[in-house]
Amino acid sequence: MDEAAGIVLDGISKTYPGARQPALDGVSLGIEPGAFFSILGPSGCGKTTLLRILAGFEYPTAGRVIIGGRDVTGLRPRDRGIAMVFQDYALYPHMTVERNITFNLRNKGVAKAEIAERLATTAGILRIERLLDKKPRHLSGGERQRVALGRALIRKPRVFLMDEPLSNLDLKLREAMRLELGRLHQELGITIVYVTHDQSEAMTLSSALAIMNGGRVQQTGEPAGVYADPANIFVARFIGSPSMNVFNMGRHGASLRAVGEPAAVLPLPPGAAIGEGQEVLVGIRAHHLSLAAPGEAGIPVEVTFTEHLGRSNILVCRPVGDAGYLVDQDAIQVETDAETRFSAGDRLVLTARPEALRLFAADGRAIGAEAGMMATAAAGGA
Amino acid sequence: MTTTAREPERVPAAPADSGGAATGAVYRGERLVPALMLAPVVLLLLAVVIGPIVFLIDTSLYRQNLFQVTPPRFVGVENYTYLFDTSRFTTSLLRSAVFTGTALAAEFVIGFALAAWVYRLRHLPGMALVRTALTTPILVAPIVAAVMWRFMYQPDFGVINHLLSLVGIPAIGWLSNTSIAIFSIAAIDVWQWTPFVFLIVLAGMHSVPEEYYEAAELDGAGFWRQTLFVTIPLLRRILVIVLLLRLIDLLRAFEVIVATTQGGPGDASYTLPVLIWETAFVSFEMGDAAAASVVLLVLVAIIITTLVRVVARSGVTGRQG
Amino acid sequence: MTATVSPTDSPAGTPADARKAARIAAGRAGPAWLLPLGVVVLAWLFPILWTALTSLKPEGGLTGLTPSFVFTPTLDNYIELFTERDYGRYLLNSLLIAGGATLVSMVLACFAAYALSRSDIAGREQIGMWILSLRMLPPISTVVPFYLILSGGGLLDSYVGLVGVYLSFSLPFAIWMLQGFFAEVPRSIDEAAQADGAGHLTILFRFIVPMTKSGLAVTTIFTFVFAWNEFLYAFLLTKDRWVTLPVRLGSTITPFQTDWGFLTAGAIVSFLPLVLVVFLLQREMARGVSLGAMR
Repeated sequence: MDEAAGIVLDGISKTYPGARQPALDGVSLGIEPGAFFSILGPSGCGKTTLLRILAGFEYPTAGRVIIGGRDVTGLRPRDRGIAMVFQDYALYPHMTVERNITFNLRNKGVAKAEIAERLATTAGILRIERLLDKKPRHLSGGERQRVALGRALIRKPRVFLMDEPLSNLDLKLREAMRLELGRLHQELGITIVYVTHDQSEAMTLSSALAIMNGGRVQQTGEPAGVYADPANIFVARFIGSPSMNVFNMGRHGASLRAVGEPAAVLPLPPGAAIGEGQEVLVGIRAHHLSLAAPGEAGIPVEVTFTEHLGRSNILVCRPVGDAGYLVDQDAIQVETDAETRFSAGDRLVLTARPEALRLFAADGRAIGAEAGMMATAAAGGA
Repeated sequence: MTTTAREPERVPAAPADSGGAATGAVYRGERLVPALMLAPVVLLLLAVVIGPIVFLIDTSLYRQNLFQVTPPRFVGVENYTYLFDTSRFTTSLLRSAVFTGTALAAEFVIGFALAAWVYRLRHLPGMALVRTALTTPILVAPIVAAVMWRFMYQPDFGVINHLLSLVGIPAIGWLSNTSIAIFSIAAIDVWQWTPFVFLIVLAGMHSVPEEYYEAAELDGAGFWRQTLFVTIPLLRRILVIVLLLRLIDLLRAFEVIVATTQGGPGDASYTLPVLIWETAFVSFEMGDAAAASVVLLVLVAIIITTLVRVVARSGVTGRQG
Repeated sequence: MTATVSPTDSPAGTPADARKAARIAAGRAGPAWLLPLGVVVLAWLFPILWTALTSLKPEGGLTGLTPSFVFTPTLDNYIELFTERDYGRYLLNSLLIAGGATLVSMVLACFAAYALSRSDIAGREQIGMWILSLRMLPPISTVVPFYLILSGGGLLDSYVGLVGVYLSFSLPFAIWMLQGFFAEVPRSIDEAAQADGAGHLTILFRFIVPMTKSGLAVTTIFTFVFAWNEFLYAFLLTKDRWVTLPVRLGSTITPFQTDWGFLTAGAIVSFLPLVLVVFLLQREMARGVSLGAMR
């Protein structure tokens, strides 16, 4: 049972009794054995529900859960070969750390000698040997987190499920535990399904991730791929900080233009499959915006204020003239290196390399970028 | 590498030995366990509570005297119309209203004041002792409380009149004076149940984050304004629940009256429960008593419905998605 | 009392002034208020103290005797209570009946409260509310049918009959209280235990029950107290064999010649055991009382 297992979620839907909207709407995912797979999304997107269905705490309205090639939809949580780390750790307060960690093995009637051996190994990996006799209420947040991991690890499950496991820790500890999780994943070669709303956790830890919104998978793929080629406007905006700028522009010959005085102009990406005059949503990340050469057409803006982040600066700008082409945002954010200094009131003309632009149709789907298209097709397949 | 959904058809079926469908049944069977845990209780309660209520309503439709050989005769709602026509029914409603209203108001005013007082002293030692001491009246059996107070109310050798005589006040017929008796009885209930109001309001006050009071303080609100604009609004739900609980208890109060005045002197403390008691176990008119009981039940049911609404509106449970 | 002073507003203040100001600012009153509070509490307990005092008087029962505070205490009333008046039997009856009702209620309530607080049974909130409302039914309304039913089944003055009737109020009460305590245990504990291989019974008895020990204690005690103190049902549904202490005490009162010495001693006997338990568990008790109403 201790081989890392792959997971297939096949058309999972869940509608709570009395709810008008389904919490999950035909979610299909494939997770490779040994993957560190993150499910990322804003709160209420259904990611926790999906994890709980995977664990067996909730029963899907439709669809199948397959772990290690076996349909486990009808199995109880204990029979699925999973272990779960909860957001609040769910340590048993009336048991010592040792009892907490070994409860499962004792419950299954594993021989005492083996329990002792596995306990020693687990405690060693997590460096919690000296905590074994304590009750959870005497532990610090980080220690509780380790014990919760230990309780999962000792069972050698085929799949680890983690529900925002780091969200109750303070910033420093969170970073330390993040490294620790990465280390554990690498050393033990386990399959981890990791639910989080924190994109930096998901981006740094995962080998693959799924972005969810409104009960549907928006995109799956490697973190870098998702970042570079978002399948739709939601993913584009959700991933990356600061958020991607989105403009409403139309094609005019070899450029993209927003009507107004003065006009905002960006170069047309090569091979963009859009017709003359067609309106599209143009996405561009803050660090891809640069100063236009003197006399070159671009986006004329005025700096409203600047944020110094140390390694770089963020310029918050407003368009000179008509701002009607901004989509769901009221400023344009530009990231520059730390040496470039501007101050409020400075007027600039911005532009970008054509390859850096991402185009989306009016319905939010990516246009042209092939990888994005594929991912969209795969994710939206259900 | 994009990890996309595999074709579901290629997933091997569950091994025969574990039997996917069969285990699924086990899984769902386990989900039924809570229902099985609840079922006996619901059935038992149906038997010991709902059964009697149905029986009661049925009885109220018959003319039936326990000590007459004539068999019960179906009379429909005649028992009810008869009841509504009698002056003693009207009297009993009036007495119940006076008794309930007086005691309820006193319990709330005193209980709230005590709680506010103790809350302001919360940083001092001994407050746990005060709480415990004031819990004790709740533990006294209502019948025993009635007996104790009846003893103290004795006109000639009761300790209350004795203490009053020390300061020159002449003896008072606490339970024999028709205009005082019902209030004397209400005082017993006030003595016993004000601590309940006190304890709950105090716990409620402790549950209010101190920042609210500090903010009110910064806004220049004194004690009374803090009570009016912070404590009462924040404790509204608890206060309404306690109010309704006390209301029901007072409406059904019985021992405390029967053990002191039996409804007298005259009809001075003749409340609805006393009327039921007398009809059933003095005159043995079971049909009439049942009809009066149904009236009391309906009154209580109305209050309970209100209570349930209040509790439900404030959301008992929440579940994350 | 204006309480708008804050420490910084009183530059000339001594440390004591500053402390007072800080206290007022935090909405607190000074120790001077302890004394009047103590007087109020003592006054509130006076009926109990007076009853205890009277029960220790040699001839407390004699009507016309002026109330006195100074006397030689004696246990005569108590001794006679148990030797000549057979109160031991009523005490035992009360213990058996209240104990039986409490035991049955607690066991059933554990299961019911678990199902109500920790499962997704359809309509569980409605069922919970329904059970809660049963606890508030007026006994005077239900006693008539109980009387007719029990006498029809030959169960008047029987142990099973009275305990069964007591379940009608003690079981809803116990469920209501326990449900509140159980609900305080986070759901993730159940799920962790479930993933660790625990079934419903294991979760209930090895996790939830040990985690809510003090809540169980409070519920047990209050369930017992209400059954122990019950008068009306016991008065009408028993005749001789199963007469309980409150019934015996209640029937001692007569319009003439009430023997107050015995009566007060009996009152103390019925009351003292409960007070002792509550003093032992005082912290949990106050919490239990308030929780009952807040859930």
